[in-house]
Amino acid sequence: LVRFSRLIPALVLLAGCPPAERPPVTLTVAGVGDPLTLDPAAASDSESMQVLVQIFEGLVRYRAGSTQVEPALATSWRVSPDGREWTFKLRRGVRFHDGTPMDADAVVFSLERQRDRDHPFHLPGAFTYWESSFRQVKEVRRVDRYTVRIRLDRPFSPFLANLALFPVSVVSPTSMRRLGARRFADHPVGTGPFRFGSWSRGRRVTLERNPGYWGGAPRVERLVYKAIPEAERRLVALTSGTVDVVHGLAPSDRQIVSLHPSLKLFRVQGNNVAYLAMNTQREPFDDPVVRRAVNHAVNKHAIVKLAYQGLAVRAIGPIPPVMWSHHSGTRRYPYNPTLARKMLEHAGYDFTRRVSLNVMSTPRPYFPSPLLVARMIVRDLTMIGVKVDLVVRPFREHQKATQTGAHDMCLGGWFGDNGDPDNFLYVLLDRDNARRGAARNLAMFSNDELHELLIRARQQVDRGRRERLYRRAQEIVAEQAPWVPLAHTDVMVAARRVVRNLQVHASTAIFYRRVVKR
Amino acid sequence: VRLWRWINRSLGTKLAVVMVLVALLPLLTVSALGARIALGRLERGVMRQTEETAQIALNLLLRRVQRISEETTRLAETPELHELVALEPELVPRFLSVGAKLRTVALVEIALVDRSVAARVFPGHRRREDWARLFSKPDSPHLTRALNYERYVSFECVDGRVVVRAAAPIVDSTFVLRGAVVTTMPLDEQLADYIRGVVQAEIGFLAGASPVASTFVDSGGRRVAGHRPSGDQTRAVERGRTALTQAMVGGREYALAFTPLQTVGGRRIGMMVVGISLRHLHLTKRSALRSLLLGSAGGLIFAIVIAYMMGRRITVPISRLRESTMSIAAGNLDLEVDVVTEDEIGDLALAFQTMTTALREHQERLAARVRELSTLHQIGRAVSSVLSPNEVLRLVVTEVVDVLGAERGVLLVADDDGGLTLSAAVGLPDRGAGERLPEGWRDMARRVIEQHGALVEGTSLGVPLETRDRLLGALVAGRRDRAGSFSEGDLRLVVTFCDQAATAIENARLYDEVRRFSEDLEQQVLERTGELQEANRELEQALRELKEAQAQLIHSEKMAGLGTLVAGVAHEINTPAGAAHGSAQMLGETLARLVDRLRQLLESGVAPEAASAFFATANRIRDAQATRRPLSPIVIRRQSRELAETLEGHDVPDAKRLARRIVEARGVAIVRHVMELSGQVAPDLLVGLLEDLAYLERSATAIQTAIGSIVRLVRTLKTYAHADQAAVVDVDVTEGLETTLTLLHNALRYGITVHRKYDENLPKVPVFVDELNQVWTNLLQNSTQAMKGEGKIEIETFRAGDHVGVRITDDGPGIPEEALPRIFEPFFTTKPRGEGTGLGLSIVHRIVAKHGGRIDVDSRPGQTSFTVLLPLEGPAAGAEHADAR
Repeated sequence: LVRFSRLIPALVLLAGCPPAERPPVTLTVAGVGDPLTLDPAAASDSESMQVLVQIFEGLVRYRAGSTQVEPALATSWRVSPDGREWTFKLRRGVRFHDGTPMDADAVVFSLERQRDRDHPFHLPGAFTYWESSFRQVKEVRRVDRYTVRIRLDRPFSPFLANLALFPVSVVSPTSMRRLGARRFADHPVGTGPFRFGSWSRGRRVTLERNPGYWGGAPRVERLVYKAIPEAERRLVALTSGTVDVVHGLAPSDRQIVSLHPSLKLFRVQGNNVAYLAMNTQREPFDDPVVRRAVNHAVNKHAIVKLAYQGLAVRAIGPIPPVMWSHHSGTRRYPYNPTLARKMLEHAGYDFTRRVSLNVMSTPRPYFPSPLLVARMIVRDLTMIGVKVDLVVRPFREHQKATQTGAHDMCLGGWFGDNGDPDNFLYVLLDRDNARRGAARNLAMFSNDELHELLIRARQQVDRGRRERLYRRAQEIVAEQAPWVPLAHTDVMVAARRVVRNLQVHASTAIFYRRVVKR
Repeated sequence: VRLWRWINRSLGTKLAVVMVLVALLPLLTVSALGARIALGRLERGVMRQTEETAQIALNLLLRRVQRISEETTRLAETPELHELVALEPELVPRFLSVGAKLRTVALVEIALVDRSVAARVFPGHRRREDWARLFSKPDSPHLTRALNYERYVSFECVDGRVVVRAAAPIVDSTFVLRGAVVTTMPLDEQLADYIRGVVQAEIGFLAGASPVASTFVDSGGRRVAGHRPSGDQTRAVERGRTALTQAMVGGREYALAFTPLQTVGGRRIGMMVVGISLRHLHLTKRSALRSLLLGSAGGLIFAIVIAYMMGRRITVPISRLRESTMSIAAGNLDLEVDVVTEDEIGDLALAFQTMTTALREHQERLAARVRELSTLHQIGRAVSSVLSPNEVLRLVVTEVVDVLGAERGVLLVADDDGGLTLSAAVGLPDRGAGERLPEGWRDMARRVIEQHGALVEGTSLGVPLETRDRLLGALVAGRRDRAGSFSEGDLRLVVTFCDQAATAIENARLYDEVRRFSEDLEQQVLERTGELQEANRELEQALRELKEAQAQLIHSEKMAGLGTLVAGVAHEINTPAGAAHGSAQMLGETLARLVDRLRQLLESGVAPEAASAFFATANRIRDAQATRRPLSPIVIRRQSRELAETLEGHDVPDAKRLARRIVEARGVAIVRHVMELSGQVAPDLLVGLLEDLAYLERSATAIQTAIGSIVRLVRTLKTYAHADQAAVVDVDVTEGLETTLTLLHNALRYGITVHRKYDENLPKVPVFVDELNQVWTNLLQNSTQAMKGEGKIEIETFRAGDHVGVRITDDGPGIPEEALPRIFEPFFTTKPRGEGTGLGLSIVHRIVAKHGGRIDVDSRPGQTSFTVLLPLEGPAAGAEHADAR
């Protein structure tokens, strides 16, 4: 019997079926590079953003497929009649990945740490988003365990949309105190659907699912972000199945992806704009008639087809169609070189003068090939007799040069930070931002009525009234034509067909909360 | 059947069969299962490999497609081509045949903006007719796209074949569209061979579901078109999935994977099939089965041998044990069981023997114990049923002596100071006293008490008597010499008995104590009752005094309320009186003016008929004056304008001003007369007369209204007071509320709005009218004061069963929660010192109580409501009426 019983394990082995450990359901995402930091307050690059939105959440978030906000860690909010006090009721029972509860103290900690320069966890100079978008916050205060009040120094209606930005995510104070602000950036702890696993610098970031996520645990158990800088290798990795999702897809790869039966292409209209700005404070573009003539002269259709490979929509104004308050009924400038020429002659344009067009040589997300666009514009303007000199510089220098306002024309583009029209109209076209040296308003456009409208809209809380103000503002911009609005670029993401329920947002963020991999 | 019988004959055979089965079945099952799994895995592995190879082949194909697209774009961007297309299109074919790399694998076409094809080249490995079917047509969608600046690449189905089509616009350096380059590459044997060379598997292409080209060959080495997939597989591919199957192609068995080929728009138009030969899989399967069969046969033989040997080792000792058992059953208890094995069966035999011996001894001991216990039980019952302590003691001693078969015994009870008293004795001389105790017994009792344990000394036996927490004494019993000493058994028996007895003694003692204590208590209660009655009388006296004081205070509060009321009423009367006074004064002045104007009219010598007609009209207007509303400025302006035009038409001077005055005096009807008379009398005079008359009428109405409201107020006051109605009267509570509201009109006028929600079908209630009005006054005053003169009061009446309810709700700050239970107490107030005596609500409470009703309060910030419920049957008959002067 003894000898016999020894045989049994051997038999089991012979059968060769010990139950294998099931590997976790893993989703691998390939991006262009490594995140720079995983401290939400200090991050500003899009690779960091992609990872941070999985780990962290703010008080509010964007609704899927829209730039409007919906409750996240806050369940409801109220703004005082003077627009300066925002009171948020927090979601109860939410826990950070380290097990500590999320409450008013954590929210106060996360925001005050950015606002208060004397805060023990303030990193001087690191919080660029706060400096640019949250300067109006005067104080963040706890009212009770689940209520937070934020006081602003002036009414500022884009504030709620700003709160959906990733830098104002709620971080775990316990973990940050334990690790310190610098080490926290390598070991982030938030409340999001995924928690941090590991980070091998320059190669990959691994996230694990948060089984206790308040919105229901994600179906994907592990999320891996791989850095693959070369576009071609990303495509190979995708077709061979080593990665499941790729963002930063080259336009030329788009058709191959759609020919591949096991791949899927996600195209979302982007929250951005690319435009040609004319310096309204210098001759000859100080004359609105000349500017309108240029608008008639540029063949946007050809630009969108040739330079964007059709992966963009023609722009008719600064506000992209995905943004609320987008106005499609403003004055239009159909392509008509003959009319343009006549308008110039009528305006007494000096056809002997030469104007400069500043162009960046580096491709931008909103300009996949800026030089091609510039050359097409030059050709269109030459057709109506306007002589143009191209001034080509790398992006940083281009930016510096145009901010001084010494150009006649220049190419510009903008990716919306938040889901608010103010972020486009005020930043890019208000006279406040036409200061020479630090101009965001590259057309140096200064219009009193527009200024008044934008300031009123900033202080107006009611959404319907704001929308009316912004629609009027867009009419003024179309009428005055400081720009030739060119295109709104689509956000492109390719994924394997086995990946379901991928949520690509206009802000380029991809959400994996409900993703299923079959 | 015979085999079954043979097996059943002996335990050894059965065991052997069972063991063979037990050993062999799992072995066979496991190995069969293992083989199945392993072979299944092998097969799945081949299928998976086929699927993976299909993916690789597809990626390879798409890479090729991408390359063609890039080449097409590059060709379209060649500057020489731009020039040729623009200037000398007839030279393009020459350029193509020299310069284009693509022409070796695909058809290349150059189209101009007018969609005409300027040049076309194709490789020579296929006939011209084959290529001609693939030529672009002027309306082909790819051409349309390319001539719309767009690059294009896709699979297409042309003429029953799948082709790769790429197109790119020719845009020159000035961004003028010059034409398009179109490349078409069929998916043919050449391409299939290329892919087969890389992935080492057979490749085929299908258009729709029909095979077109492949690398599969039959046994003769000739190419075959390929395999047509089944309907299910086609449907799976059309849904974008890879279909796997096994099938014979060209006489050989293959694992096949069909993957879809789709257009850029996602339409599936064809398939690529990848085949991996299954020859190796079949060979492996056969050898695996052979090994399994051999192994099983060997295992079977091995198992049978082992089973036989093991079976014998078990059955032999068992049969010996069986024999011994039979002999023991026959009564032979001293039998030695002859089993020599050292295993469990040997142990069993030994245990068997030990068991029979032990069994017998236990049986005897058990019988003795049963006898003792039954005796003890009887005694215990007897002792417990007696309650008098002395009786119990005596019984205990008697029973112990009896049970032990002793001649004498005593029970000594311990005092609190350690002494021992003889309490009961049996078998001692009758004079019974301490001195007569047998020698050494007292000493023995002391010792057993000290060591808490029983003792046996010679013919004497001592046992302590104690309950769990109390020592009672000791019991000593003795035998005469001849009866011998006590045994251990006797001692155990007595100890057990004494435990029980001690409890019985203690119970008896406690009962005695309780009885004595209750007698004491009765006496004390009697004394205390006398004292309490005295105190009660004093208390009643104090209460009477207090009630008198309270009544006094209530009266003064009412007077204070009346003062407030009178002040309000005075104000109410003052306002209309002032208005009447003013109007009367103006009346005099107007009359003087009127007389003067009449004189002027007379002096003007106007015809009496005309004057009379004028006055008749003026009088009509005046009559109507009182009931009309004032005109809005807009109406006045409009009417003035129209009237002025009419007047101007009749050359009346200063028409605009006149028109306005006429309109304001509502005298449009008078215009006719003004125009008639304008020759004789100044129009101003006529209009002035009209205005005076209108003014007189208005003043008279104003005075009338003022006096009317004074009269109403005075009447109301009378109703409120009802000094003559102390009896119960049926009233509508709504009236009382309205009366009170009228009186409080002054206080409620500014900033407070009153909402009435009266139940219209409210029945009348029998009440003390004047007192009830006091209730409403107090409640409403309370509310207005709480609201600081600003807010909303809601008064609601309703019927609730056999009650009528009135609810007065205000939106004031509310009553603090800690004050709520006390608000109806006299002198309790939340008002600042000097604003209230704190009696208001107390009075309300008393009045409502007097009506047999109820008042409830419900308060929170922003909503405080008092609800008064009055019974429909009126104040309860015979209820004690509190004095509510």
